[in-house]
Amino acid sequence: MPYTAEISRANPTCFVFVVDQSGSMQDQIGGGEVVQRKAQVVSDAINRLLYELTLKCAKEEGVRDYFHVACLGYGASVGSAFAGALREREMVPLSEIATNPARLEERTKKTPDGAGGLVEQTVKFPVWLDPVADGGTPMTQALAQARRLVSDWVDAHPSCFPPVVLHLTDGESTDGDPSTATQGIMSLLSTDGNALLFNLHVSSAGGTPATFPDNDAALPDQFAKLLFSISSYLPEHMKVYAKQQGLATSDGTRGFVYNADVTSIVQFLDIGTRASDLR
Amino acid sequence: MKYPSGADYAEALQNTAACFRDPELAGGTVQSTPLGMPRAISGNFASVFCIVSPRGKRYAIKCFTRHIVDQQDRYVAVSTALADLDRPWQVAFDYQQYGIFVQGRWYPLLKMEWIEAQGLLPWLEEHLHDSEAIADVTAEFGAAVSDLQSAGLAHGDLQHGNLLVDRAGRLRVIDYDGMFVQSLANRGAAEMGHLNYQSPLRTMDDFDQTLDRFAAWLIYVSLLLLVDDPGLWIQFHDEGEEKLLFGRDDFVDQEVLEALSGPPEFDPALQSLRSCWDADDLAQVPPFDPAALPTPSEMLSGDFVVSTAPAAASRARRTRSAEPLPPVEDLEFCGGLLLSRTSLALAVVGLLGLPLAVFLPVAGAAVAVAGLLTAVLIAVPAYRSQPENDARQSAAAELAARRHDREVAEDRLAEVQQGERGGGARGPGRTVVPSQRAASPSQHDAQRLRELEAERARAHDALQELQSTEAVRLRDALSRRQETHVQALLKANEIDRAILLGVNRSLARQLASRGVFTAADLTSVEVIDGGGRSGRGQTMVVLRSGRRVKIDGFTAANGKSLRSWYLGEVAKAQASAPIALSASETAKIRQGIEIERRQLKSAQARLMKRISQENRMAKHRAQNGQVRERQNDSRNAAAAARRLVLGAQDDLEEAQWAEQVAARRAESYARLNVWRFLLR
Ligand SMILES: Nc1ncnc2c1ncn2[C@@H]1O[C@H](COP(=O)(O)OP(=O)(O)O)[C@@H](O)[C@H]1O
Ligand SMILES: [Mg+2]
Repeated sequence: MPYTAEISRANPTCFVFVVDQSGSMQDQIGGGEVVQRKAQVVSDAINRLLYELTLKCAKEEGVRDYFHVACLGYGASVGSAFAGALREREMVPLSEIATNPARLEERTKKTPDGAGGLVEQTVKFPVWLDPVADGGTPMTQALAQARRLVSDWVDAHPSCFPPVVLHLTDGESTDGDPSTATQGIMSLLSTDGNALLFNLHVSSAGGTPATFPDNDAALPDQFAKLLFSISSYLPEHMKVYAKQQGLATSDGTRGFVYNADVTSIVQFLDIGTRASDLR
Repeated sequence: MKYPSGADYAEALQNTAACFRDPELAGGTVQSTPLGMPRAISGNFASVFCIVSPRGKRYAIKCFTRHIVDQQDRYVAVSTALADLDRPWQVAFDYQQYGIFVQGRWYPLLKMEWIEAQGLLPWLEEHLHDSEAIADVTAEFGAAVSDLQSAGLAHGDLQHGNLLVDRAGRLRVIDYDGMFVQSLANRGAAEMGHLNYQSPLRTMDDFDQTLDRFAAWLIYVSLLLLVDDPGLWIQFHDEGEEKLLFGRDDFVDQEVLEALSGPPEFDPALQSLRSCWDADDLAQVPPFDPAALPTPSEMLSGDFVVSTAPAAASRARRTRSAEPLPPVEDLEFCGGLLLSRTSLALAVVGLLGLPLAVFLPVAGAAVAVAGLLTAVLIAVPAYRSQPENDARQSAAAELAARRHDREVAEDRLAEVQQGERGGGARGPGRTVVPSQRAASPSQHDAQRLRELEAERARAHDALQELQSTEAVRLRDALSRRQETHVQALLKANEIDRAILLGVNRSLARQLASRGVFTAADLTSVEVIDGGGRSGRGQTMVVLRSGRRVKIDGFTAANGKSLRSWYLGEVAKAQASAPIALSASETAKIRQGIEIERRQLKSAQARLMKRISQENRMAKHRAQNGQVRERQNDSRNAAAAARRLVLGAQDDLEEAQWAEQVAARRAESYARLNVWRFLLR
């Protein structure tokens, strides 16, 4: 059965983030109180995911290298998007990620106080990646580069849990249709199955946010529909976890998120060998 | 329900005053990483944080990241059951349904005492060469499982991540999320446990008190084998693997059991694993009962027979310190009394001469000089000639000699102590790394390897032969096919229709009476000229069956025409025979060969794998023997060094004693000076 390989230090897998840093990411989305630049939304999402991964792999002696992580940005150029000590690094073992954020930011958050009101809290937020918005949108080129990283990885780790590529964009490629490049990624194989491509679409086109939908009917424009169509189907065990989180799933459920939170994908990953047919 | 993620919890924990309602936790301090972020330890269902309460007590807080069905009921039931049990391996906990406030909601948490401990894998890796510690943990694990078993409970997820070893080396079993308790029987399982520890037969429907059997045997046996032979870790556990010695693949193909067999002390342990792995049904997995296996301490004492230091140390030592030193004696000169008295008298006389010299200078001086001079002249040689003087000198010499001895003994002690310290690096406490060289397999192993090698060589030869076999089979098939063709054509030629030959009907009947109807019934025709009753010769035919029969009424001429007809028919038939096999026939043969080739190949591959495994094991066993030998060697060397030190200490003590005795004697004699000689 595919997607059941053990994720362990002896058999690690990789996570590749591909993030849109083009000029259009300067635009704002949201409405009312929470207006944010798209570039901020996607960099926050990645920073959060990286932190999530390091916590997930933390053991008593420190963070274990169950994953190696690459982070490609595309805009004025295509290349590693890490800031700070990891600048220009491509595939980085998770333990190094854990100890090398570029900085800790103090952020004030408004959270519900449980009694209907909101309280302001200051929290520390580790940052590996800065929001960038500059230049064109060489999406195809960046995805081709991600393909190369994944391809090298599966060559070196032929029996790994299939690598996960998470692509974050506002959807408007300037170097052609990305379908071929994404096909290229999804056709890469380990003995445990095809590499997984997830897309997070941040868009100002409005419409209802969607998390792992199984059809594109409610998606507002052709960009969203295209990204939906080039996203992998969710493997069975991930659907089980999605269902546990209250999401409706079907055979058509894909790894696509529209203007919503994507951090739950870390919760979909099983570390070590686990029986995955949970209720 | 969507549970918060690890990062959600970590964020909430940055403000403990707001996220907890438990007074011991609210306002407590979260243990953090060097970066100053909350430090987490995560499993697949939860992240665990360490909180120091305002009053300084440490707690482990388990925050759940995945939903567990009926969690509260489960924890209440488990809590009740474990409270009754009250065993040292347990970790006390308090399940709080509204324990932690995250993003506007309360979530459950599990508050536990914080255990300063290591997970079983990192602990084992650090303690591989401390077989005693492993033996203790093994015994404690066995006891914990027995405790659960006899209370009708099952943990449900026994595996390395849920077994901690605390600072005192005691085993602690944690993570009761999936526990079976009688009162939960109808709730079903909450999880299926770690794949590398559970029977492939286990399903979500299996939830009863036998749940742990498979994992318990697996863990117990792994640990037990490691007590005997820590090298197995290097052999069977690749770095970073999420298992002890065995993983899911092993349960299925079981080759590992073969590879491990050899040491007789392993037999019962491997037998237990086999009975777990062979089970067709979970119910067949035997209850956990290690009584048939060697105990961890038996494994430990096993064949580690070494002569160790304590035996040498127990050698009876003289304790000089308890003995009193001889006193400093008040000695007197024995002889020369007359002379000493005389010289004393003369000296007195001489001294009397001194006041006399005031009045009679010359006479007084003469008396004084003469008296004193003679006194000296008599006293000195007399004193010198006393035997006590020699004795004093020899006492002094003796003292010098003893002092020298003591110095030598001191140096010697320092030297052997140095040696012992230096040798300590090779001592028994140190990790002994198996060397890759010169470990030659035992006779038994070598024999088995030779047999396997021979088997492999046979498979190899068979594979080589297959090449020529293919050609042979193709050729045979072709000739069979040609033969059939020829026979078919020959059969189609009935002899009585062969009028052309001049074989008339009655002759044809003769042939028929011999069973020859067509050319296909013959294989050859023999003609004997001039023989027979008529002198016109005879004809014999060889039938298909190989029988040679005479055909009545056939003259030589008849025979010749029969023969030429027969040969002609054969030649015609052969000329039209196929010269090659059809594609499908060839393919069929080739496929047959290919199947054989694959079978041979995979047999060969299996053998190769087996050989390399056996080789590794043999080498490993040999190395292990070496390691033990070297461990023993180094233990013996250490013991020898210890013995040397102890001996040198004894010698030194003895030398010091002798020196002190000599010093006393020397001191006694030192008092015997010339004054003492005179003034006694
Ligand atoms: N009481 C405790 N004291 C110290 N560490 C603990 C305690 N409980 C759990 N841990 C650590 O947290 C890890 C995960 O806890 P566990 O209860 O096994 O969670 P999961 O259900 O996710 O496997 C354990 O492997 C252990 O290292
Ligand atoms: Mg656990």
